[in-house]
This record gives sequence, structure tokens and C-alpha cells, in this order.
Amino acid sequence: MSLLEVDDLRTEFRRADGTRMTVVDGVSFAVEPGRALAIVGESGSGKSVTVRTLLGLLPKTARVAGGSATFQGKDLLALKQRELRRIRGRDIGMVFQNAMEAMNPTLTVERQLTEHLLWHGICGKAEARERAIEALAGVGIPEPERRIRMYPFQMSGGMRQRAMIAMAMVTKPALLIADEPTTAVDVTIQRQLLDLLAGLKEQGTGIIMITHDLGVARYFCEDVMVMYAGRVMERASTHALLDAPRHPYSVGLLGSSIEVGGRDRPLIPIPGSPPDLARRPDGCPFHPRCAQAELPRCAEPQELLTIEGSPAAAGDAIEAGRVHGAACWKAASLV
Amino acid sequence: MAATQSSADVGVTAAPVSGTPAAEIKTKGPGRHAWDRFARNKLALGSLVFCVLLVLVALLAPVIAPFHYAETDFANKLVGPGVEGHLLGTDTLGRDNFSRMLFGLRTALTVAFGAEVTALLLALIIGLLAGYVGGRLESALMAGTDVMYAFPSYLFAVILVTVMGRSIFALILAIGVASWVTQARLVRAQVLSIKEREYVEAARSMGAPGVTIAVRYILPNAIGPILVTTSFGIPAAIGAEAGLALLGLGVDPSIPSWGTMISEGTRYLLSAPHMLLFPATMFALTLLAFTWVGDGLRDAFDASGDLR
Amino acid sequence: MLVRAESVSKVFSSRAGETLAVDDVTLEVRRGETVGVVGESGSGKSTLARLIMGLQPVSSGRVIFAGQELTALSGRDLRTLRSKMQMVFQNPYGSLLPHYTAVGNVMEPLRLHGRGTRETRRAKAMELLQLVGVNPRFADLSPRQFSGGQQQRIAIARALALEPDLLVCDEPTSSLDVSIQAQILALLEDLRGQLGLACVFISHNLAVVERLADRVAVMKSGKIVEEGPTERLFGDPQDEYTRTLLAAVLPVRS
Repeated sequence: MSLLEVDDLRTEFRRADGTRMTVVDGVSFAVEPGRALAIVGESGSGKSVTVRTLLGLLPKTARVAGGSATFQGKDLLALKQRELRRIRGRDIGMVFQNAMEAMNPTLTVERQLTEHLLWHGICGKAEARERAIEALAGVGIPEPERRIRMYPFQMSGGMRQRAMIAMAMVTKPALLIADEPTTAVDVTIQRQLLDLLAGLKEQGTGIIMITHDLGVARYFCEDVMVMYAGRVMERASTHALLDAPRHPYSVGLLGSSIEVGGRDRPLIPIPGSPPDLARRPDGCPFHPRCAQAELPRCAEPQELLTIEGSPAAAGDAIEAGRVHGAACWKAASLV
Repeated sequence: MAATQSSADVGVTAAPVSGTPAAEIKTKGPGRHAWDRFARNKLALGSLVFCVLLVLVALLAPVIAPFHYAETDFANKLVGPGVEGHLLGTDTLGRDNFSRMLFGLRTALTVAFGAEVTALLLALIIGLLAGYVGGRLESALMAGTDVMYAFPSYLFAVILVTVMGRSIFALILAIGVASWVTQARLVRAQVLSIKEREYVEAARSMGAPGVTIAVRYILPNAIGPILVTTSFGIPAAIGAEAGLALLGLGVDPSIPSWGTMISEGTRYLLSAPHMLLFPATMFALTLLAFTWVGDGLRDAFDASGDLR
Repeated sequence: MLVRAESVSKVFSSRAGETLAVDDVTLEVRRGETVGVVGESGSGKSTLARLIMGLQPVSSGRVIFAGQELTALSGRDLRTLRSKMQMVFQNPYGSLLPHYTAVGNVMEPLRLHGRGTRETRRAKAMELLQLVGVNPRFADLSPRQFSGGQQQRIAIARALALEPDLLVCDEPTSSLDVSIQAQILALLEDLRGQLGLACVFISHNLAVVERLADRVAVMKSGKIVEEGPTERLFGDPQDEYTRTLLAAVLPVRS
């Protein structure tokens, strides 16, 4: 039984001039307990909006246009704000890119941690403090009893990021959503934070990690989903996708990735830029930039095909991580 | 027809000139964008039209006015609207109210625009110098600004008018000098923040001298919020002019002013209500219109709103 | 030798006290070579870039560019010298003049240094835009109408306008998407080859520096802890910190 099952999620934004823009266009995936799913994509791919839709954190100009998201037996998209708020922060934790922006600068770390627990009615004040200190210790912050009384600005960047993870984990959520949690920190701290999160996986927490960094995806996540212009381009276990990508966009992403030790490997940038979401190309959103594109087939709606060649049925969503799916009719033939 | 870039274009050479402009270029320049936002606000748009009409009417007052504003007609003192060609009636000396209103509008707008432009110029010069040069000049200028700020503006205006006499020029100066203070601080704050932007550093790295940076690069970008306060300043100035007129310190009594018309009108509230009604209504409408335009401008310049 | 920073240090004083951002650093760049400077945040690499460019005065030490010592120059002479070294910044939109058009931005350095007439300046600017891959059709649009990658191309075109000998790039691709980053780096590699530019490339991204640089300097807390030819430094790092940095890198391919 999956922790979270998202089926055909669609989110639309209404622009100031009244037109509608589809930002998430039929995204399906599943998250298992104790496993991490990487959602990889560039600007405009819709990866952040996807998770925000699940959590009900969309701005007023946005609305859910379709799909379902089943978490612990409930459809998150059908819940009222009040119920979502109970789940948010308690059963689903969220970690952001920039701790300084996500945390309240006028409250001490203690207040922010305990407030979480008290608001959700998990325990009383005294126990909350104990749990908060435990949580800080759990994320590797030395002298937690002293540090807990600090304000966010008094901490270093790495420590703040850890504190934010502690905040998310203090209620022991079943699912943790991390949106680019290591992008803003130094590379030496990045590995420490990822190892920290790995400990949570061991405890059975399911993790969704949004990242643009394929190295992070490889290191930390068992499964990966590549998004482009609001659609899923490819979905597979991380090793399968990174070692043998099938969708031309994934191939392009890997071709554009620069690695230490790869000095002699030719750099093959993907030409052009991501599309304007208000005017998306017909069919596969990537086809205008794709060297393999063939009209008219590529301008027709594409489905997520399993590499064996048969369309993935809705029921396969459960197995999403294990089945290698690519939304390209040529994927099976591309080597 | 292939819609793709040929793979020959890809590779280790520079990326090709793009063939898909829509993907990379967002439409609309910033000026057009701001105007569109302004135009979407129907109230602001309507008010702008009204203000433009007011300006036109004020400019054409000598042509439109049926009577000269000082022309007396003792036979028809304090008559009501519509009598003997007097659209809005006459005052205690038989002068046509409509004509006086038109010229009063002229006075009001002349003083208001004059004062605001004066204030704007002063604010720009002082704010730019203080913000860009910094150091002791900034401290001195800001200290001076603080002194002005603390000085009650009405008192200052009164003193100036008393000293310089009741001319339009004196009024413009009085109101203008009394109101530049807040704007100067605004300009300085904008300049301070823009100074830290990367394009200023980039300008220095290109070898641009300080004056060029201040005037050509920083100033145009600092003006945005100031335009909004200036447009709010216009109703404030109209009000100030009317207020001074009420105190007896407005323009020479021979020149019509809404302030004097309102103060006269209150005396005849019961016997001839039209004396107060028309000037007061126009005054209120004018202030509202300019204020709504200012609101619209402020919203149009707001950075957020549109997605992405 | 094109530019040499000799025992330069930079101290910033603020209300909180004094910070030693750059501590006795010596670095040399020869004509046509690319020197990469890597380090984490707070290492002082960005400050060092600005010291080399003369955008910040050194607290001690000296910077010698093409035989001239920067600190000894008058304001005007320094500005004239600026035409020989240009900078590409991290934030593409932020570094362009927002109230000028794209082509206007590229023309501006030429105008500042009195090169040619308005027509010739515009022609040159259009050429440059084409060189960096910006469609000349969009030359008269304002910077904010372009995507991040395009904005950075415009910034590069602007940096090349004065035909500098040295290009200092401060994290030029860090705020761009991966696929766009690859495009811009490919562009820089290409231009560098075509124009024979010397380059100082600042980045926290080791992989990018490895690809572009001939020599690499690793900075930590204001000091250079190790320096050497790229292959040697990456293949056989001597310093403890360099090894830590390299070990922290997460590979993409197996």
C-alpha cells in the first residue's frame, strides 16, 4: 500500500488578463514508505506547484483542475482547508529551500518547534519542549538545550537548514516533502543534510525530494520522476533512469550535466528554452526542442509508455517506481 | 515541416539563434505592462479621463466662460442657478458663479501642478545627492530635511506668503517647499537601495563615471514611487491652496479660488445654498479623481500580481 | 602575464566589527588562460574577483594589470583601463540596465568610452548579440522580456563590446537551469577560443570549473589553500580541504 498515490493531477493558474494556464498537466506518481522519490525538473516544469497542490498551498489564482491524491486513505484534493491544515505539519512535513525565509525570524527556534506540537494537540507544553530538544539533537545540532533558545538569524546557514528539518520532523510525519533543501547550502553541508534525511528514511518516512540536481537524486532517492512543462517525461528507479535514460529530454538533461571527471566528455546542451506555459506546444511539450522529433506524431497527446511498449494503466501507478515509464513513442527504440 | 533545431546546431559550439521566440521572450515591455495594469482599473481609468478633462477645461477657461470672472451685475445678486444665463447663479456681487468656478479650477490646478513640480525637483536633487554621495553631505542634507519636516508646513506657507505677497508664484513656492520633504526621503531611500543593485556595479565595471551612474542609471529607476506620491500630492496641494484661501492667505482676492468661494458659500448656506454646493462638490470630485488616479498608478507600478 | 594580484588583502569594517574577506592572496593570470577560483560561501572568491577588477580597493597588497598598478591610477585612468577587463555577474537580470533595451545595454560601454558613432555602435552591438545567440529581431526589447539564459547572453555580449583582454565571470551560471547552464558554458568556451580571452572563472561548482579552467585555485576563509593545473589538482589534490571538497561532490553517472 503506497503512502501517497497521485493520479492525473492537474493544476491551472488564472492570469491577470483572465487566461488560464495549465501548470501541472496530468501528473501521476506514488511514494512508498521508507523510499525517496526525486521530482526533477527545471524552471517551469511544475515540480513545486505539484507538491503545493497536494498540500493545499496554492495562491488564490490557482485551482485544482482534476485528479486525485490519496494519502492514508483520504483524497487530499477533496479535503477542506481545515482538514488539510491538520494533516499539514503533522502527517506531512515540509522542508523548503531557504530556511531564513521559511522560518519566522521573530520567534525562537523553541517556539517554532513547540508551536507545531501544541497546535496539533500532540502533547503538553513540558513534553513539547523535551521533544523539541530531542528533535534538534536528532538532526545533529550540538548543545540543543542552548541552541533551542536562539533565533534563526543567530544560526549558521547549515544549522538553520537542520533546524528546519527538525521542525518538519518533530511531529513524526509519515511523509516528508523537501523542496530543494540543499540548493542553498555549501556542498560539504549538503552531504551531511542528505545523510540526515537518509536516517529518516530508515525510520519509515516516505520522502518526496524536489531537485534540479541529478547528483542529489542519484545519491539520495530510489525513484525519480522527470517533469517538463507540467508533464511527466520519464519515471523510473534512479539508477535505471540515470544510467540509461529513454526520453530525449532526460537524455538531454544528462548530456547537459557537467561532472567532475567529465572534462573530456562533450557538452551537449539542449537548444532553445522551456516553453511559455500559456502557449504550450501540442502533444509532447518537448518536441520543438527535440532532435528526435517527428511530426505529426509528436504533436499528438503522448502517454506514459512502459519501456516494454504497452501503455501504463492507472493501476500501475502503484508500481510507478518500479516500472520504467517514458512519455515518448520513440523511447523504446532509442538506445 | 520539422519544428526542431537540427542536431548539427547542437554540440559544443555556441547555441544557435533561437527560432522559437515565443518560448524565450515574454510579451510586453514594462511601460506597456504598467499601462495595461492601470487601464484594467476602471475607476482609475475613469478618473484619469476626468482629470484630463479638468485640465482641458482649465486651459480653455477664458474661452468657455460665459462671463468674465470679475464682471459684476448688481441687479442680479445672489440669484439661483439658471437665471439670466448664469448657469450656477451669482454671488454677492453679481459675479457669475460658473465662470468663477472655471477660473477657480484654473487657479487650483496651476498652483497644484506648479507646487508639485517644484517639490519633485527639489526632492530629486536633494534625495539623489544625499543617497548617492552619502557621507557628510548626506548627513547635512538629511538634517536639513528633518528640520523642514518638523516645521509645521502651514506656518511655513503662511510666513512665505506674508513675506512675498499674495501672488500665484508665492503660493506655488509655499506649498512646494512645504511638501518636498517626504518625497526627498523617498528618493534617497530608493537611491540607497538601487545603489546596491548589480547593474550599478556592472556600470562601474564598464568604466562609467559617478555622475553618469547617478543620473543616467539610478535616477530613472528611482522615480517610480515618486511619481505616485507626486500624483497624490496634487489633491493635497489643491486642498492646501483652498485652505490658505480660507485663511485669507490665498491668491489675490480678485482672482477666483475655490477656497474663497467655499468660505463665502458657508455664510449663505441657508439663504443661497448653491453658493456652497457647487464649489464644494467640484472640489470634492476633483480631489477624489486625482486621488484615484494616484491609487491606480501605485497599483500599476506594484511588482507582484501577475504570475511568474 | 596579464594581471597579477600580489599579496592582496581586503578588510571590511562594519558595526559588527572587522571581517578579513581576503587574506594575503597572490594570483596570476596569463594572456589567454582561464583560471578557476573555487570555494564555498564566505571563502572570499567573489571579493577577490572585485579586487582584481579594481571594483573594490585593496586594503593591502597591489593589483597589477598590463603593467599598471591599479591603486596608483587616477579615477579617470582606472576607468579607461576598465575597457580591458570586463565582468559577467551572477544575476543576469540584475546586472542589465532595466530601463535600456537589450541592444542599448550592449551599446552602453561603447558609448561610455566614446567609441564610434551611434550608428556604428548599434551595428557592433547587433553583431555581438548575434554572436552570443540572441536573435537581433528582439534587440529593442527590454531585458525583463527575456528568459534568464538570454539575459545572460546579453550580459556576455555587453562584456565583450569593448574587446577586453580579461573576462571575469562571477558564478555566471549558478542561477540558471541545468540545460541553460550548459548552453552558456558552451558559449563561453567557444567565445574564449575565438577571441583568445583570458578568463577568471569564479564558482562553487567544481565540475564547471574543472571543465573550463586551465589552472585552479581553491579558496577557504580568504586564503588560497591550493593552486595548480586543473588536471593535477583534481586528479591528485594535495590539500586536506581540497580533498574534502572533491569528496563531497555527488556523481550523476555511475
